[in-house]
Order: sequence, then C-alpha cells, then structure tokens
Amino acid sequence: MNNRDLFIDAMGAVASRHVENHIKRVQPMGIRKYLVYPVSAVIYAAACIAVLAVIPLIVINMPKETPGNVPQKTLPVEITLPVTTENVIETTIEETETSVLDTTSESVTTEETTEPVTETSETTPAPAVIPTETTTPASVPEPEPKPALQISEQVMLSPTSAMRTVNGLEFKVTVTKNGSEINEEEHRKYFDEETVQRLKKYWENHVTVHLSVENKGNETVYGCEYYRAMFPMGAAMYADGQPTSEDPSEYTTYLFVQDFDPYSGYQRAEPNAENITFNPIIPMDSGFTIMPPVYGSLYNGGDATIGKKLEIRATLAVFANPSENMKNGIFTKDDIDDLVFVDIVIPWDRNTVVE
Amino acid sequence: MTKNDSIAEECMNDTLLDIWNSIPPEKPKSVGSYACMIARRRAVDRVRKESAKKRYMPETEYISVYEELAFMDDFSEDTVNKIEITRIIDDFLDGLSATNREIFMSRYYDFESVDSISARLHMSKNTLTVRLSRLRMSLAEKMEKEGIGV
Repeated sequence: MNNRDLFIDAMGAVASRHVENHIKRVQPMGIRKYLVYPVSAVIYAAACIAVLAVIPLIVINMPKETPGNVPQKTLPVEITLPVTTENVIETTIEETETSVLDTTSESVTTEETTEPVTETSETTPAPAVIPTETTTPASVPEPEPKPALQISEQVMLSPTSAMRTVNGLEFKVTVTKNGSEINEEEHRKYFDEETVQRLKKYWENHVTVHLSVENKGNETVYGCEYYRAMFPMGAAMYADGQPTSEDPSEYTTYLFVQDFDPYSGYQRAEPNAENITFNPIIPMDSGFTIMPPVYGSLYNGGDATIGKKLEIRATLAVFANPSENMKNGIFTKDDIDDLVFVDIVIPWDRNTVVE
Repeated sequence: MTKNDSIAEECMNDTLLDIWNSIPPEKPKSVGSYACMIARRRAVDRVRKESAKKRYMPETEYISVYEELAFMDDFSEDTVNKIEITRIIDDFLDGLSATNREIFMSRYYDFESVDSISARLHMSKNTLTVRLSRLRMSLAEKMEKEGIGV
C-alpha cells in the first residue's frame, strides 16, 4: 500500500467528531434542514432593514454646504479691455458662484463701436469664465489708443463677506447680523400670538448687507450707484409678519434705484426720455466709499419650506471716460454705451446664521 | 464515489451487514458517523478492487483525489503509518476554520467533486482549487513538523 492509499484510509479513520460535524453540514437532519431557508430569509431581511435604517441617518448627518463651510475659492480672472474716447465699451459682469447654496459666475460682454453715438452696436460676448488672460480682439481700428483699462478681479467668498476687485475697484460685501428684540407685550396688543412670534423671529434675524466700493486703482473712475435687493417669497413680509405672497415661485423684488436703472426700471419706464438726471457721478478716488450700506432684511423664521434663498444684486455703473455732461449729472441715452456695469450677485442662504 | 448504481447498492448492503455484525460488540457514540465510516471503507475497497481487476470504471472522483495526493509520495514509506497519519490529520482538521475543514472533508473524505463543493459553498471553482492546494501544502508541512520523514 502506497502513501496515497494510506492517506485515504487514514482519512476514513478520522475522529468521529469531524465526521459528525461534516455530516451535519452536508446533510442537515431534523429541524435543521427546515431552518436553512428561514434563517437565510431572516438574515437577509435584517440586513435590508439595517441598510434602510442607516441610509437616512447618513443622509441626515451629511454636512450641508452652507456658506459657512464652503471652502474659500480664489478665481483669478484677468481681462484686458482697450478703452479709448472714440471706442465705446460696455461690460457686464455677472457673478454666480457654483456651489450648493452659492453661485458666482462671471460673464463679460464687450461692446465696441466706432462711433460713440451709434445705438445699433454689435455685441461680442466673451467667454463666461476665463481662468486665463483674455484680450479683446484688437481688430477694430483705434485711432488714438489709450492705455488699456485693466479689469482684473478676484472672487473670494467667505461666510459673511464677498469681495472682488474690478478695474482697481474693490467691491466688498459684508453681511452682518444685527437682530434686535421686540417688545412682545406691546406687540400682543395689536397682533395675535402667531404674528408676534413671526415678528420676533423677523427682528431677531435681521441682517444688514453692506456693499462698499473703494477705488484702489491709480486711475480716477467715475460711477453712480444703483443697487437693488431681491428677496424670494417668504423672505419679505408685510408689517404684520405675513409673507408678501404665497406663491413659492414668486420673488419679491425690492429695488433701490437711485436715479438710474440701466437694465429694467427707470429707463424702461421712460423709454423716450431725452435726458435722465441722476446724481452727479462721483469721482471714485482711493478710499472713497461710493455705496452706503444696502439695507436687507432676511426673514429667517416662519415657514421654512418656502423662500430659502436670498439674492441680493448690486449693480454699479462705472464710467471709464465720462463726458462733462455726465459729470454734471446729465445722462443721455447715447451715454449708455459708455458704461461699465458691475453686477454683483450675493447668494445668501437665509437659514444661515450670521454672526 | 463509484459512479455506478449497482456497485453503490452492493456497497450499501455490505455496509448494513457490517453494521449489523459489528454492533454489538461495538458501541459507537454516533451511529451516523460510524455508518458513514463503514460505507466509505466499503466504497473505497470496492473501487480499489475494480481498479485492480482492470474492469471498466467510469472516471470517478476517487481517481482525481488519488492524483491530488501526489504530495504523499514525497514521504518515506518507512516513516508513514496509518495511526500516526490519522492523528496528524485530526490535529490538522482541528486547526482549520470551519469552511476549510468542510472543504477538506468534502474532498478527501466524501470524494465530492470540486464542482459540487464550489456550488454548495458558493465559491468559484478556482478559489476552491487554490484553497485545496494550500490545505494540502499546509498538511504536508505539518506532517514534516510531526516527524514524518521525507
């Protein structure tokens, strides 16, 4: 008998406990053979329940990307735009930050015409976000080219402030919470309890948005102020604390327009006006704050299912080379092409606690 | 194991007769394992006998198991004895995980095919083959450590 046969025989003589366990596993007897499927089913069901119970917990505990925990981003964009007295430049910059709650992007449209009084000028849109240096085509003849108006901007978002620099102008947005307490007893004389509580929340979460513009460049730039705040439905309320609308899709827009709204309000209201008078454009010298604090109230209470976001837009009309009329506050329709509009969008989550 | 119904039936009859004759005086702790042991011995004997007579035997798992046990040829026949090997195998089985023990017993005790074991234990055939190979190697190492001469 060789070793292989010996091994086979030796295997036949292994301890009975091994054989017994083996038989039990291979051929379950008695109630064991009926337990196989129910046990498997119970284990499977338990696993399913565990997964279904754990997933919502994971989803709930996932950190939300609020302005407080969105990582700071620096998006340097440098655009060179030639500016001459003959050439007319119109630049519109929209800012939208891509994040869950915040959105800031930038689109630049540049309009150049050979004659400043021509209204039917063509628009050449530039790429929306340009991470590298972009120069507008110099194909348009420029009789007397002047030093290029450098627009370099840096977008920095932080939980409570957004700042960017355009053409040496530093736009700084700061949101501060300055809530106050109301005299509840006094309010109860006039309002029911629910309204009082709403008003209480409203004033507790009162937020002021400061938008300041400082000229930190070397050149003197002129500008006039124009700003507006857009509140989603539910953010704005009547004096009694009721939301201004029940339609979730409706945005209540407050316009704080001083004399001139090149986009929608004023100009559209008087399309045939020969001249529009506005405050004299102000030389934006270094350190001069052109914009007063923008008032904004964020209603942080009430029905949280509607109006979760606030959007504040601030537009500054910047004149690179204003005419004497413009400096005196007389603005004609022809001057519209001589503007550089900076449109700042401040996305804001009204549920975010601002310290 | 025999792959032949009539031979299997004969083995069964012989097994029952053996049990009838051996109990008493034998008093096995587990009748099942005792019957299993006798049946296996009968089947192995029958397969060996058929092979020795050069009769027609379909490809049985016994043959493939026999080929897998080539590692046993490395050991000197003078140093190998059945009782010692049985003791070593018992120790070896005690040290295995439940799954590995199941695999080893299914293959070398029941002569179950690799396909059947892999299907029953929900394993791929390749995984099972690798595991069996490792088990054989570790058994050979253990036998060497236990003093079985090479």
